[in-house]
Amino acid sequence: MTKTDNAQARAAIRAYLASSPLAGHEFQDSDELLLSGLLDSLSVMRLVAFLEMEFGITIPPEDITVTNLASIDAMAAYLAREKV
Amino acid sequence: MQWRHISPVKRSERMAERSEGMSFDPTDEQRALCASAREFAESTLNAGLAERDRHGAGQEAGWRGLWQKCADFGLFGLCIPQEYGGAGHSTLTTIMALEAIGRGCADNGLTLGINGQIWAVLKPILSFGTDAQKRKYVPGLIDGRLVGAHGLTELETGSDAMSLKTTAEACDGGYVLNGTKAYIGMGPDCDLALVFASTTPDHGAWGVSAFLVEAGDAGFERGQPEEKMGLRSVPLGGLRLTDCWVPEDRRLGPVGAGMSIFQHTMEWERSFIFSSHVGAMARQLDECVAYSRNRETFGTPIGENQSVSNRLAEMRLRVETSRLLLYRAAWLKDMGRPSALEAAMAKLHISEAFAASSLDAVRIFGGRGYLSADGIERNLRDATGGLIYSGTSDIQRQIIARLLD
Ligand SMILES: Cc1cc2nc3c(=O)[nH]c(=O)nc-3n(C[C@H](O)[C@H](O)[C@H](O)COP(=O)(O)OP(=O)(O)OC[C@H]3O[C@@H](n4cnc5c(N)ncnc54)[C@H](O)[C@@H]3O)c2cc1C
Repeated sequence: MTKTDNAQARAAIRAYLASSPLAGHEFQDSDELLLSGLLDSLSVMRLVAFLEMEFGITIPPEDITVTNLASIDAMAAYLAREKV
Repeated sequence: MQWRHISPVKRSERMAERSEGMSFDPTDEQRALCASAREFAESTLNAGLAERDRHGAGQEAGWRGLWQKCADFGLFGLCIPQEYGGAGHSTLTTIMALEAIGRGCADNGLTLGINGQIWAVLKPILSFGTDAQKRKYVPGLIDGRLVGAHGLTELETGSDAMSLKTTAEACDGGYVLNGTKAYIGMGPDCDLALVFASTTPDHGAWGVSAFLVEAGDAGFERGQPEEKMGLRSVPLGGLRLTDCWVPEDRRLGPVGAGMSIFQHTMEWERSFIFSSHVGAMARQLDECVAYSRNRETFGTPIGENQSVSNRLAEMRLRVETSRLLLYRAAWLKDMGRPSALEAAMAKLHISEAFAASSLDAVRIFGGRGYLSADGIERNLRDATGGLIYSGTSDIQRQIIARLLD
């Protein structure tokens, strides 16, 4: 498996969220993270920095929307579209 | 994250900055630009300031004429890519020039307005605008024809800015905007306003989008200039949108990107909106040093008293630390690195430093500092606004604490 594998991408995101902003929370890949308020704007900023570092991509500010970051599912779909 | 969005920088500047790491020694080119900016400011921007401060920011007070002179000098286009009519300077060169403007220009309201136009209006348009939007608005914003405003704050929500109530409902190939903005710098006289409104109220902060509203749009009303404590030479007031229809091609960025546009713009604004105020602090220190040497009490210059010289030392330290935070934030931007933490630190420190030094200046000048004639007290009134706009000091501390590793 490589970083480009979507299952591994999901696992990496899950591990990041569990280690920091969502430590102590139960969450699923489909759970709504932004609109539920689980992640606030600063947590999202850090999450974006993590995704950029982890997957070696540049996420332009116009892509930082609920469509792309709402849940782990949404992030995985975004990464797949970006061909990570 | 920022590489795609930074302006093309003159190759010589980028090379100098890269090869010298984080050295802030100005190059000969930067030195010459700063000298001419300071000379321009000293010779052109101070006349009539006491009147403008006394009578507020009506058009007749003349700020628009000075605005045009600043545009003619090239201030608004310093860091704008050459393809849109700017000079294409790096961020660092730009803030050095803006600092020099503040060193020469005692009109802190005007310099705040100039910085607002660059960092809170031009920058988001350059970062998020379509090519057509950039071609339509950027040339006018840099050549002085257009005055821009950044319309985010609402009375009800204040610091919790992204809980805004203004709505934008999709309709007939565009959006109908309804809501009221408050405390908008240049709002009463703006030709163009970047307005944040909710396109999907259910999505809260993530349902906000940004729009470019023009002064002539039906249903767009600019309020009267408010009377205020300081920064009186330029207008500040509300904006009202009543069934104001704007076409789809005036949405800035994608639907729902308002939060990102806000964060991105705040990073620029908080980092650099005080560029000229750092110059003002250096000028203020010069004035205080000169006065401390000349003013005698009990047969000696007041500066020989440790309580006065301690104040001067603190003021000097504030100029130096403010400048370093400002330059470092600029360097990070030019390197394409994220700088949310540095932006909050720069905003917090420089605004507090300017306010503290302005109070120290009044103390040093004594009764003379309290009177309006010399403009010493004006800095204190002007500096107070900086503790509030772009997010209050309390909010910056929260951001800094949250971004600690
Ligand atoms: C000179 C000036 C120029 C401005 N220009 C613009 C502009 O061009 N565009 C624009 O959109 N807005 C502008 N503003 C508005 C400015 O951004 C807001 O005034 C500011 O964000 C604070 O909002 P508020 O005034 O409603 O204060 P509130 O949010 O009501 O805050 C009141 C007090 O409570 C504190 N507080 C509030 N929430 C918290 C919290 N969570 N934690 C700790 N303390 C808290 C604040 O720090 C403050 O001390 C300007 C304001 C000024 C003074």
